[in-house]
Amino acid sequence: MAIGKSMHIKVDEGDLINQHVHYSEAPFPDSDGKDAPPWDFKPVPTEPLHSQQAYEDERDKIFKKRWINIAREWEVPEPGSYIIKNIEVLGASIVVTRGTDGVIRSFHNVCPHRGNQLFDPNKQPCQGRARTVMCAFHGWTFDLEGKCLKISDEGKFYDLSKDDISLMKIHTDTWKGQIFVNLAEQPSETLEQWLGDFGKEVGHYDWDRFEVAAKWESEVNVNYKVFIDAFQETYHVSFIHLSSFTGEVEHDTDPYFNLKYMRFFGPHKALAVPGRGSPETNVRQKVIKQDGENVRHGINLDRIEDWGFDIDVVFPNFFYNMLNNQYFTHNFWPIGPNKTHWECHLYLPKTDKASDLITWEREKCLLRDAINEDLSTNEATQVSLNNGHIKQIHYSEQETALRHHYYYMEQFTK
Amino acid sequence: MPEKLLPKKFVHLEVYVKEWSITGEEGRYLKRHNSTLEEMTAYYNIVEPLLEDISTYLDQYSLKDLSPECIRLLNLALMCQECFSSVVLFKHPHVPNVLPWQQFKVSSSIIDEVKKIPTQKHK
Repeated sequence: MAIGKSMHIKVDEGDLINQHVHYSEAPFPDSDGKDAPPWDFKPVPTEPLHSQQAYEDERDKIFKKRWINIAREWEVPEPGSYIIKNIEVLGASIVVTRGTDGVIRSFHNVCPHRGNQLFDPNKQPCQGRARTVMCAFHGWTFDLEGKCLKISDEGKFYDLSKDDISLMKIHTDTWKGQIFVNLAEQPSETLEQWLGDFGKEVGHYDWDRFEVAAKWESEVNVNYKVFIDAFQETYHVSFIHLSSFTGEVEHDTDPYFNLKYMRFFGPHKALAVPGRGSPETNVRQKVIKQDGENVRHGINLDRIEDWGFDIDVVFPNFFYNMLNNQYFTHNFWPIGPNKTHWECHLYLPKTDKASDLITWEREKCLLRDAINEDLSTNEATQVSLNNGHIKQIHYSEQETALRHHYYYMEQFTK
Repeated sequence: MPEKLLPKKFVHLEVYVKEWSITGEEGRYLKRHNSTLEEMTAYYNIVEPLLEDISTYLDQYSLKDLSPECIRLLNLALMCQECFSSVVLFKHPHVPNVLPWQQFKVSSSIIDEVKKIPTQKHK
């Protein structure tokens, strides 16, 4: 295999979060020598892609123990705002609130009296504004900071007053407008520590320039790892996106649309997709110029010439796709070993001009169509995996990101 | 006096308003998937050459100040863009070789509220 450039910063073996592997200037090297990454390059067993046990292990040891993105600050825009998020893999119905003090918190959507659902979708909207919430069962009342305001007929309780009880709080933190929760009783690290150097690099992006412009979702009969695999390699572009993005591919010199760099920050990653711009689709990926004003931080981390966009992944299931004039996020929610609920939010620059909306609408619809193409192989693949037709997968150099996810899944579920 | 459907400059597009001027991405997505390629192509060929003029006209106003006639005009332009990939790229009414389009859900309501653009019920 031809040798490109790579770097591996080795830290303590047990420190999974701060291992760095950086491949630049494709083609990327293999596993020999001092720059070898912590994972190997052998075929990967497919059992974790369909087994109930693997789903339960990931649910209990990753999703319920690590920082997971569940909401966005714009979903709870004002003091008193709340939104309910029902997330099967977390085993929780979660109320995300912005208190009167402006602080974002989250709680289990459970009355601490006898466990009734506090915000009942049959009785209240699952998103809105409120100063208080009253349990429909016995009238216990709470504010959006979680404080108990009233226990009905309090005097009949034994050694219990409203000051002794509150809503069951969940560890919550925000990063660049995104809301994360950690269901562990005591998280093993803060959100900032969890994001580590990934957060420091990508965090410089000018997030405030954008606002949400679209939301797409689907329920697909596929394991979430099979689903995310389709979104963290470009090997498929020439085939799956033949109609939508073929103009982006340099068929003579780079027919397989190779990634330009791969950066692995512990369990997280940043991958660079090439881009040249296609007149037919009006997709313009401007070259990042290092001349001051045109430098966009947090993207094109290696400052390469033919950069298109970055695929940034927060382990285990939260993706950013970062361009210089838009970004979009994916959340992949496991619903069992063979089903995933996927949702995507697109963010475009804030504007007051109709002409911007008209111009961007074409790209937005085309993006949606291309993502629809990405979903196209999922269910058929899962059927084959479920039937045991394929016992192992050979990942190429260009599919290293998939292997990286498999490695960290194994490490965190030991 | 009947209500003006569109600004005077674009009165010749009023015949398209009832069917193609749709508020919200969800409604436009549904319209695309319930139209034939011929229907979308005919509509696209009428409106696409006018997109620049429509953009210039509407930019006289702030988005939040758009009149109902202007909102209808904006929606005609957005619907034209919704048809682009079917008419120009795929030459097929839907995205070819993907999951059933009903399995892919497009949400407008939350987005429109966040953006606070005046909405207009589709007639």
